[in-house]
Amino acid sequence: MFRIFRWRRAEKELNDEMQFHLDREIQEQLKAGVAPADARRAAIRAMGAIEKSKEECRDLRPERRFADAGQDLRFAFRLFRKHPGPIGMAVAGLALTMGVATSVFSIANATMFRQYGMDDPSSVVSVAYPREPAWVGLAYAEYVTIKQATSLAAIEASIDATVRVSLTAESAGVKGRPASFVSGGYLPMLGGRTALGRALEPADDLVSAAPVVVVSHHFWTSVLGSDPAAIGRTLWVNDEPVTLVGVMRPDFTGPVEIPRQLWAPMSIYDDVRMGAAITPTTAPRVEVTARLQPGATRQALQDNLSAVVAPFRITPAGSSRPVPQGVDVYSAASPLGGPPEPDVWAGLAIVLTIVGLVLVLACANTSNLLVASAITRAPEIGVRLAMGASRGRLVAQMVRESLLMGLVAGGLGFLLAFWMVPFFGSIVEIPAEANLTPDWRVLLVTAATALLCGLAAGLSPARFGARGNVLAALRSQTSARGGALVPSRLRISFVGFQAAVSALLLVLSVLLTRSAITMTRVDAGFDIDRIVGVRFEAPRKDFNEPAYIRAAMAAVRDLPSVQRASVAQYQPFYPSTWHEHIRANGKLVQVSGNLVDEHFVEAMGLRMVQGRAFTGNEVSTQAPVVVISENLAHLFFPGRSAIGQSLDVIPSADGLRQLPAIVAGVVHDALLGRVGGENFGSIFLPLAEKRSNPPALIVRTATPGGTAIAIEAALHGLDPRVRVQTAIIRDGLERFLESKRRFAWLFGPIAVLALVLSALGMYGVAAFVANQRTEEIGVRMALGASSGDVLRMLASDSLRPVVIGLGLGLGAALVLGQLVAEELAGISPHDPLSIGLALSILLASALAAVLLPAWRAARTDPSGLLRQG
Amino acid sequence: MSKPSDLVQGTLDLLILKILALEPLHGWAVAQRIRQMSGDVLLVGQSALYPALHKLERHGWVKATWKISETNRRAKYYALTRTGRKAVATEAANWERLSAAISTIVRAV
Repeated sequence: MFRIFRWRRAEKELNDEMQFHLDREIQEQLKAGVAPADARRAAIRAMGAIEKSKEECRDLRPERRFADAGQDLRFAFRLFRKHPGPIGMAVAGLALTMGVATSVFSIANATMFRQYGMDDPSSVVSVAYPREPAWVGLAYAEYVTIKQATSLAAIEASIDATVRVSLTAESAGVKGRPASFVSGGYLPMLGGRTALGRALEPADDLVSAAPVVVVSHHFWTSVLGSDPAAIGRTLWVNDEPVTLVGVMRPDFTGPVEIPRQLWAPMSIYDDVRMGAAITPTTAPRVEVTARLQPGATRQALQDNLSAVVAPFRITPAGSSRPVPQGVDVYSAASPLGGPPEPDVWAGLAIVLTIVGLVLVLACANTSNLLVASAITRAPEIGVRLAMGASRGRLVAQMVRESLLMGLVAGGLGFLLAFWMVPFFGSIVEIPAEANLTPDWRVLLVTAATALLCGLAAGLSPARFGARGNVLAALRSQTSARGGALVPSRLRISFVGFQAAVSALLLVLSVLLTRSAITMTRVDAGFDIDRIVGVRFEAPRKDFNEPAYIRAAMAAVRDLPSVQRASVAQYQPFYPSTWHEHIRANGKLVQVSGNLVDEHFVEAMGLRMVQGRAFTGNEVSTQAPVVVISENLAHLFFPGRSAIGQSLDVIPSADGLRQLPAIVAGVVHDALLGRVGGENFGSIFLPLAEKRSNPPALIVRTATPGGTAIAIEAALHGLDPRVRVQTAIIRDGLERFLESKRRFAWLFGPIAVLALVLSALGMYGVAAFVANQRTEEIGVRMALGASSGDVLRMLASDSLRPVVIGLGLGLGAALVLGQLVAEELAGISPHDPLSIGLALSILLASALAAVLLPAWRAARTDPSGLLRQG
Repeated sequence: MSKPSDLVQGTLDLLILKILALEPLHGWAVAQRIRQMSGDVLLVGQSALYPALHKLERHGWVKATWKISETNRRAKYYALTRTGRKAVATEAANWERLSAAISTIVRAV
């Protein structure tokens, strides 16, 4: 308010001062004998450009900057009111893109950069053996040894598992809740504090201690209904009663990919999990987490611990592969600081590249619009220059306009992100606990992106607009249009670039979409509709699992609708499939593996290509024989029979051992585990009698629905303590495919956005070119050119950069297609049909965008066009 | 008249300061005084004068007040401030040095 007042006073004084000067000048002229009528004019002529010097005086005032900005803002809004269409479209495109970018960054922020609610996350590290060929944790005994051996860090251990939790002894509860069984000092070491009750303490981890558990805040609110009296109540974890002693704070999730819902002391691991107690010799492997002491470095700890574990790292006799010596110590604070995870990086790189490209596309579009508007605004610019505006002032105005557009779009995008984040989050399967609400970091990035976009979009048209020639601009509309103001190379490169980016995105998106469609009718290679899988969850105590499985098999075989039944460790397509490495003839590949009995091949309906299935004797004696799939036979033993050949199986659960085996049979290729990517094949080993988890029954039947119910009923009578779950194999496959389809879902909307953006851009430029050449078209038509000629001329001019851009985008798509190859099922990243389809869509939209304005120009009356000029 | 292109850049400030050192004047009078004192050689138009005056005011070297002029009209009078007086001395010294150097070269060649 005060400023406005001061500005007004300064304006009045400036006017008075100038008026006084003029009056004195007139007096002088009169004194010199000039006639009164001419004196005023002579005085004004003598004084020169008054407005320009006034403007220069104004420029000296400090309030000037604000006043200018205010003026430009008002002017920008007036412009928008006058041309809401094109500006609104540019802002909407930019806003949508900013929304997508903000959502992607929110998700990255929530998953990649989260702090897990730990104290001083930078000093928390993980300790593991190098991941070669598969990730291997430390044995419990090794953990105990290094814990005592080093003074550089406090070391604790955890075992991750999923558990079934129920609120009453009778109910089945909900399965698959992520839990960690932790050593006593684990939570205090991380700095995990509770919102209610207490955290786990070292005393809880004694075998003599009463079984206790703490839960996550999310678990407390979603399962326990935020009951403030929940502390002290009993929960049943895998049917074992435990006492709830604490609720963690909302931000504490544990330094792991999937936020934990429960933490229990390691001492009750054997109670609630089926399996042996943890002793120094019978250990399952543990995850080791440590906190560096002040002053200690990761490298120092790594050297220290590597020396400590060296005695454990002895390569077994007869093994051809040396055991990796030493351990890796890496940051546990964020996945980015952890060991390189190629999948995560590739995924992130793809998504960021695409979002970046779409952002650039939207910026280019906005820029294009602004260049066009700078050209149509040439007369306005001319007037302002004539009125004494400096060029700097004009550039500032244009940059302010585009900054304003960027900020408005950024604000809208940020709001849009609140709706888009849950959508994208569900696509990429973000755990429910992850906090996806855009926070200040996201806001900061969005604001920076908005400013950057605004600047980038505004600079080139501003530079160009202010270069305009005053006289040419003032003289007439036409000469401004046809004059030196045409930034042809700039505009053409915009169009080419837009075409390239949308070609790239569209090709990738069509590939993914086609792969998603292909997957809806994927051929597993066996009759997935007529096979029922039966899984068991057995009680831990007083239970003879092998005897039970034998009895269950007998009971199932007795059902009249069952055609064949077999036992396999893993049910095909069930989430916990098993991956092995096998090696032969110097080749090492990852395959999906399974442990099966002698009836499996028959029950699944797999066809033997060579050799035979296992015999009952081979299964009961654990003979070192394997059955492999046909593609593996070709890979390892090209051009000869695989039967009788030997290979090494390297179980992923234990990177140290390798089991030599002889190939007994080859089955035809069937999809049994991995879908998508390269299907390297499957390997089958004889089912072991000694196993850590109960196996599944694989049952072949003509009536899967009814048979499943009959099986559940029959097995319930056998031992009611065992929980039985049946599923048709097709359902497991569908679940697998679903996760693959999500990627296409994510990609589709972005590609459509890119296509719309670039079509708009192409249309804008084509319309602009047609408008620019109005005069020329008029002359040509007056001289006898048909509208067809004009159409051809305009279209070929506008299409040339489009075609060049399409070529470049296609090249990029062929290269980048390798990155999404992993996500494609059944089609190559160079699939000609997909690429052809994408190109036709692009060409069609480019043609429409280019031909529409050209056609409009060609249709007009030549005399009208010329008169206008 | 227009722009005093023959005026070395920055010397206009010195001329104005020098003139105002004698007595407070309004803009028109400053221009007249420069013209008279230079024997009609230096003609300063308003387009250079007022931006220069406003700049000096912004610098704090001159101070403006509205007074009644010789023609009985309200006019904006510019007077030197204390810092302005110091500036006159340094600017004049600078000018002496500069012009002496230029003259030396001009005469030598």
